[in-house]
Amino acid sequence: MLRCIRAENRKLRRSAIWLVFLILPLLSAIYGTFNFIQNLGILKREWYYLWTQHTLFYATFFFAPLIAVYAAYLWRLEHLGHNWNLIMTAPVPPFQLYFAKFVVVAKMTLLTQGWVFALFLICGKLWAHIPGWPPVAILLWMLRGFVGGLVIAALQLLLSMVIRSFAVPVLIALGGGIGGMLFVSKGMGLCWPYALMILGMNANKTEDMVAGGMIPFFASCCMFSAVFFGAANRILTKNDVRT
Amino acid sequence: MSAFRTELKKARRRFDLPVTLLISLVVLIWAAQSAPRTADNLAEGYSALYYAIPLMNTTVMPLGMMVLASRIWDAEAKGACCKLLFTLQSRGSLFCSKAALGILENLLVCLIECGGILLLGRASGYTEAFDPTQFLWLCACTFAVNTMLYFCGLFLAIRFSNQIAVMAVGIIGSLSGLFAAFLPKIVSFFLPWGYYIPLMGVQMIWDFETRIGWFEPVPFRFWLLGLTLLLAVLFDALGWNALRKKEV
Repeated sequence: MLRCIRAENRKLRRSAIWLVFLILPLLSAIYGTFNFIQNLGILKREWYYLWTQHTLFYATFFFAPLIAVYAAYLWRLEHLGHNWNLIMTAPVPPFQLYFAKFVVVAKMTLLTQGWVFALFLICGKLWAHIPGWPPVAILLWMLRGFVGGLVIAALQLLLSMVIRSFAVPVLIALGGGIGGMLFVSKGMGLCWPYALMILGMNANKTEDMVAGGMIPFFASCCMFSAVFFGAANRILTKNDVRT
Repeated sequence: MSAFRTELKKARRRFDLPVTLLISLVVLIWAAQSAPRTADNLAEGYSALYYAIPLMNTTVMPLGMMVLASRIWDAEAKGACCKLLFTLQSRGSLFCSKAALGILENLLVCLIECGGILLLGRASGYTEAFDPTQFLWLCACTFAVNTMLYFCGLFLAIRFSNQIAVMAVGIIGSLSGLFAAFLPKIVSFFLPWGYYIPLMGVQMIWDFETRIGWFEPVPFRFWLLGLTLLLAVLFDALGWNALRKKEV
């Protein structure tokens, strides 16, 4: 398993994926802080209000496509040429191939969340001049967003494995993100995998959306992940090689 | 013509039609969910749609058009079959058929979206009088900006063998275009991905004191529509140049 993870990690070296990783959260942070400063008449100069602006569009619309790009990139290489035949004959259980990719996408997701938080801190202190330090709750929201992001990672890896196209799973992720926003607005966020990250991150809200509902939130994350892992395992072990 | 027929056959195997449907349905479902419900809002229902649809297009279409472009070029890129193809058909016929297919699929996206607007207005019982000029302007602008973005995507897909470049431009374009809607108007003129917004035929006036908003028509920016078409031609030329010089 470790060798599989190492192999997947190698695929990310010198990859253009790092550019997307850097630019997308940066754009979101610049816009969020600019909007925060422009609306200081309505908003208070507090970390919670800056959070609403930073996560406004990023968590709702663009986080899922970003994860989708990570997932599609890792599967893309297997879909090229005869690589699918090669990996299916590798001396490892097929599910480990999927799980190794999941671990790498999870690592990328965690790094993305870290980069978002670093930008949030830098923009808050140096640009918006917010006094003090961010509340611990925001750090917890980041981590909860990461857990929600793992569900999206599992789903996107499954989609990118089945749909042999780089682009289509990314479009599905955008549609899923928009669907997530609609599900959250109807109070049914726990029923839609793409909404879990929005709930976890507490996007565009100053009050905790998951307060008192941590167990259902984590249960929903576990249930969806189990379903996607199970589906991936079944497809990889039962389906024949197609080129 | 035979090259175009071949592209149509490839499109059937690539499931281009479901992708086209997905792009327009995402916008329509979103619009339907945010459609006005109260009597006051129904009285300005169409204006609200003419304002909301370009915002939704800015979020969905840049990525959607890049996906279409990437899909249309993907078979050639993945199979590395340009060498074989160029012995069977001219580069010009390949590019023209791919451009024509993209425009056709884009037209389908616009037709579904515009048909959806009419249906939404009828189903929701909008009491505002239907303004055909505003409607046609929205359709024309959506088609023009989509075409420009499609050619931009096709150029990137041909130029870079790694499709991540196309997707990156699509996502970053969507995000920056959306931000342009909330930044000073001048910024939006420099972000072609968000041209749906400065091309809007209505604007929202928001009174901070009374906290009441309403919609007003704005003069159509024909010069910006012209610039959009010019950019489409420019990207088309860049795409053709990239294919002409492509080493196989």
